[in-house]
This record gives sequence, structure tokens and C-alpha cells, in this order.
Amino acid sequence: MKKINRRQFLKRTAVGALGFTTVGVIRSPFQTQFYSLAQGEAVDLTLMMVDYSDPVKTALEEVIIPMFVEENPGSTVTVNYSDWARYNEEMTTAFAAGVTPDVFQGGAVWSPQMARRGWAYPLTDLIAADADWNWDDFPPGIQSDVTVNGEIVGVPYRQDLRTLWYRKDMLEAAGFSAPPTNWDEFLEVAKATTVKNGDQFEVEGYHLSHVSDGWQRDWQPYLIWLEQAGGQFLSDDLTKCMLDQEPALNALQFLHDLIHVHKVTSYPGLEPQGDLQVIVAGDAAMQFGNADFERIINLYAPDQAGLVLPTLPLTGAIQATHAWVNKFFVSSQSKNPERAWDLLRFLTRADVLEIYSAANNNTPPRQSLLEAPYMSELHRQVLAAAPYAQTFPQHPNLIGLFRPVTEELEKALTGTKDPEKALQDATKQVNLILEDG
Amino acid sequence: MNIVTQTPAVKQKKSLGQRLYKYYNSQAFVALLFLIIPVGLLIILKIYPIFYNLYLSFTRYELFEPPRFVGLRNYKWVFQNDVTRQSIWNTLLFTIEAVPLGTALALVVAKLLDENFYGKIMYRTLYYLPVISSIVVSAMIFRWIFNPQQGLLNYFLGFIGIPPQTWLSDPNLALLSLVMVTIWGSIGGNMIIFLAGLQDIPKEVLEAAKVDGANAFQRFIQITIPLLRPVILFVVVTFTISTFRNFGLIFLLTQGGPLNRTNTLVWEVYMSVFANLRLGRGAALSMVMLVMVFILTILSFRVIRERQG
Repeated sequence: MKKINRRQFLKRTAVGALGFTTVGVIRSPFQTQFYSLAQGEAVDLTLMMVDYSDPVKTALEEVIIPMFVEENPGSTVTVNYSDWARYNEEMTTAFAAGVTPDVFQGGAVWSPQMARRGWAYPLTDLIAADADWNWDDFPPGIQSDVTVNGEIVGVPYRQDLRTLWYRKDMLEAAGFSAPPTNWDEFLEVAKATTVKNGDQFEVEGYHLSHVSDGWQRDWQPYLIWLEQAGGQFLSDDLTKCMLDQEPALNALQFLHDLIHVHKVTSYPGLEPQGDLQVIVAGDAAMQFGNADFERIINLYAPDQAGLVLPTLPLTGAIQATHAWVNKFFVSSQSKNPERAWDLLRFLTRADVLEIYSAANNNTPPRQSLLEAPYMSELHRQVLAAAPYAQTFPQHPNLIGLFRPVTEELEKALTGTKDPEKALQDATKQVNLILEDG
Repeated sequence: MNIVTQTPAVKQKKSLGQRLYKYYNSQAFVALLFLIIPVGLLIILKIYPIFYNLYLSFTRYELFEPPRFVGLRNYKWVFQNDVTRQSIWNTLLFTIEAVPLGTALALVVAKLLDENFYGKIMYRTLYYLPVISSIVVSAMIFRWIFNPQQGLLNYFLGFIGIPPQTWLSDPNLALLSLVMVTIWGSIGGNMIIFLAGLQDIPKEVLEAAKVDGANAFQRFIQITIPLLRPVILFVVVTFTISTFRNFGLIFLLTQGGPLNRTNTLVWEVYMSVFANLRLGRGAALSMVMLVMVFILTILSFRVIRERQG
């Protein structure tokens, strides 16, 4: 064997590395060919999940995906998982890079955003051609949440209905036999159930928010109070912020007073104990929440069953609450949008959606599932809040609009700014963004 | 008489293949090969993005539409917007609090661990451990430590009569809490660099000073520190840059709050780009950050070089 010296060795190594780098950066022609060959035949689809728990993962991998593969022989589905904290940027960069999953989940404010960016594959025609799948099973309010400018851009898989939950044991100990129904009763109960040791809260009469809940932590509960006060975030034509109106101020003033005048909640609030929400851990007597409370109790705190209960939304000026409607989308960058629709259609079919919803204890968006066996009595009580639920306005930059509001809310709630001034400033900033387009 | 005529040697023209083969065997080709990859990567991964970022900073770009030229509008926004101005101030404050204190502590720890004592290796390992810990794990642990109700820090402070503090949600304590975690995470790495520097200091110089009657503190101040200046400069510059880029801790612990007190430039870039999808604004903020790091680095060089002079 011919010997080579060190220089030759280094040179050949460098030539090899350069060759590999060149090959690596040149786009492979084979991938495109594979996809084009796969049209109409077996295909490898990708699904991005963000709204999941361990039981959902098990249900997906052991039941749902095998069912799909069985019904679509030769097809495969690769499931990737993410979490809400990094999901927005993960999907944004995926779209920017052109490597999106075929089907992906999205949050409550995603429909107008996806539609404006052209990232959601339009589904109206596919849905219209698919009578068996039964779009009419979704209530009109939920249908309109995914319909942007007359085009259906996604399919809801969950309605995250939040209502007031209370601790029956704490209310009874304070002499209340029933949960509050309006703001006055709420204040009375909150005062009576608050337990303090000096300045420190041992039990919050009402838990508003906590730091580890991220930058929207105050905005989400405030939104419910705002809607109960009869207010709204944006005008109906989406051109003006309505937070400088009286209902918005009433709501914020009420929250401000809960913290600084009546001292029935700490700000920022007590932190959850691991997976146990503050109310489930026994650190608060009342808190807004969804059916996930029941899932956590069943899973981690069965001794709390029957003690933490939901009730109907409170009445301020009106009886109201907010629903976060989460949905699946087909990516506009999918190389097989019709096959991706097959997967989405399958995932939101009543029998499959039931498996997913049961695993996550989700409130399903399909009316036919409201009597499903997994829907417990407690879950039905949460569902009773549905007629009072409002959804987000369909502005394409809601996340951008939320930011100045959250900042001003924080200033008002910490007591560093007068609530009225905070809302005026928030309105000014939101209006500037709205004008900017 | 025979006349011998000599025809001048005709330089034979080499084929392209031969010329390429000759070049392949030349030193210039070897040099080119070894330069082409790092220089290529430098251009693709560093220089091009900087110039593309500069270009984007003069545009309005939201990914789904082509960039639109808006002149200096993004820079105007950076300097006129209260939140971004606060983020510039927070970044400077964060750096001013973390870098000098973290550098000094790392130097002191390195000096202590440079001495000969039993268990020296174990202590060096323990101090270095945070460097190899994942930032996510570290942040999760510190979230527990800072927990107002069940946190270790409040528990220990309770022994000396200090009431529980809301470390991550008190506007006066949140940035300080991040500084503490940053210093904890950086001491090990900086300590190793200082240790290497300390071991390069000639022992004769220190012994001569000792013979002249200088005590340990005087030797440290008068001899060790001046001789360590290049190392200190390196640590200060790299630590400053890493503090400017500190995103993970803010993302995992405070998300810019409370009251924007931990909203640094890098967090603001993230929010501009991913929450608002305003890539032009994010690019303008990044350019401001680049200039600030550049100025601080030059200042560090000047201060330390002047003292050395």
C-alpha cells in the first residue's frame, strides 16, 4: 500500500470535507421525486401536537395513528411534539424555512393569523365535499371561529371553556352553602375564605395569576372579567381598542380592589405546587379554570375529588366567560394537502376525536360528543358555561396587540399605575398598532 | 566547418489537466483548501447574516410578504419606544451588575483553588459543574429555589429573620435574581480560565516579592492582578458578550417581567420577531445590540490596556 505523507493526508481530508460539505448543502433531488411519486398513493405525513398529555401520547401512538394507518394502507404518520411556550416560534421558523408538518395544532388566536399569512390550507371545498364527516356537528359559534373571510381555515378539536371553580370545603367552612353567582357575592365569599398569616397569604380567596404562567397570565383572567363587565377588547370592525371604555375600567378596578383594597388575592399570586393548580393544592378558594382541573385531580390528587367544583360563570353586567377554541390546520406548504386533509378529517372524526378528548379530558367541539361516556358529571357542569362563552375577535395580529395590554395590566395590578390611566395607555398603544396595520 | 545551430528550447504548453495537477500538488492549493471551509463558513454563518440583518433593519418584514423599505423607521422606533429604551437600560444594568461581580468572584475562587490543599480537585470540579449543567435544568432548579412559598432561599433567610421575598416577581429583585443565577452559572468557566492564567505567572516573581516583605494580599494586588490583565480582559469581554446574549434564563424564569424589569434587548428582539412578527424591528434592535457590545468591548480593552500601560 502506497504510503502518504502528512501533507497529502491533510490535503485529501480537506478535499473530502469540501466534497461532503458541497454535497450536503446542495438540495437533494430525490426527496422531491419521492413526494411527487407518492401523490395519490401511500404517503408519509407529519403531525405536530402541542395540546397533549401523557395519556394523549399513548392514545395517539397506540390507538389513533395505528387506526389511520390501517384505514390508509401504506401511509405512515410521524408525530412530533412541542409545548405552548415555544410553539409559536417553532412554527414560525418552520414556515420560514419551508419545512412544516402537514397537519398541526394551533391556539385560540391562530385562525386569522394563519389566514393572513397564507399558512393555512383552505378547507372549505374539501369540507363541502365530505358530507359524512359532518361539519354541521360543530356549533355555529365554533365554526365561525375558524372561518376567516368566508373561508374555513382550520378544524376545532377542543373548546377550552373556562368558568369559576370553587372549593366546597372552604366555602362551607366560611358559612356558604352555594357558590357565588355575581360579583358582589364573589367578593363576599373571597373575603370570608382568605386566610393570611400577617402579610403572607396562606389561602387566597381568589387566585388571579402566578408568575410561572407566562407573559399573558393577567390578560387571560382579565379577559373573562372584561366580558362579564359587558366590555370587549376591539370594536366590531376591528379598527379600535375598546379598553378605555367604562366596562373595561370596571373590570380592572374590581381586580385592582381585590388585590389592594379587599386583599383577597396576592399579586403575583401563589405558585402551583408542581402539577397541582393553586386551587387543587388547597391554596385558593376560587379560581377560573377549565376541565383540566378534573383531569389533574383524578390523576394526582384523588383525595380532592368532590371538593373542587365548577359553577356557572359569574354575572357582572352580563353573565359571560371566555372560550379558547383550539384547532388543527393543514399547512399550505404541505406537499400532499389532500392527504393531509385525510389525516385531519380522521383526527376530527367523531369516534377519533372522542378518544383524543377522553385522554386529555378535553371539552369536545362536536355536539354529538357532548353525551360521550367519558364526559363526567363535573365535565358537563363545565360545559354548561358554553352558552355564555365568547371567543376572540378575528384580528390577525392578536398576540402583538396583547403585549401592551399585558404590560399596562401589570402596572395597574401592582399598584404602580392608576387603572384608568393604564387602560388609556394600553388603548393608545393598541390603536397605534392597529393603525400601523 | 560544421555550424551547429541551437534552436531555443520551446516552452511546451501544458494541458489544463496538467496545470490543475500541478496546482493540486502546490502549497497554495493546500492553503486554499484549508482556508476555503472556515472562510466559507464565516461568510455564510456570520458575515452574510450580519449584512442581511442590517438590510432587514431598514425594512418592514413579516415573513409572509417581501421586505418593504422603510428607511430609519425601525431605529426611530427603537429609540422612541419606552419599552425598548427600558430594555437597553436593563441590558446595561444586567451587564454592569453581573460582569464585574462575576469576574471578581471567579478570580477569587480561582486564586483560592490555586493553592495547595486537600480536596482541591474536588472543589474545582464542584465549581465547574454549573458550566456543564443544562440551562433549562438550572433554571428549573432556581425556580424552586426562588419559589416564594416553598423555596430554599426564603427558607434559609427565615432563619435570620428575613421575611419571604418574591424573588422573580418583585420588580426590585427580579433582575438581581437573574444576576445571581448568571454569576452562579459562569463562575466555573471563568475560574478555569483564571486558573490557567495564574499557573502561567512565574513563581520567581512571587517569591521575590515575598522575600521583599510583601504579604499575600499585596502580592495578589501588586503582582498577580497586573500579570493577569490579558486574562482578565479576555474574561470581561467574553462574559460581557454572553451576558448580552443571555436569553435562556429570561425565557425560563421571568419572560421579561415583572413590569419589564428583566426585559433585556435580546428578549425584546425575541418578542419583536416571534410575538409580533416584526422582523425589521428585531433586526434594528440586534444592530443596536451589536454596536453596544462593540463599544463595551473597546472600552474594556482601553481600560485594561491603559492600566497595563
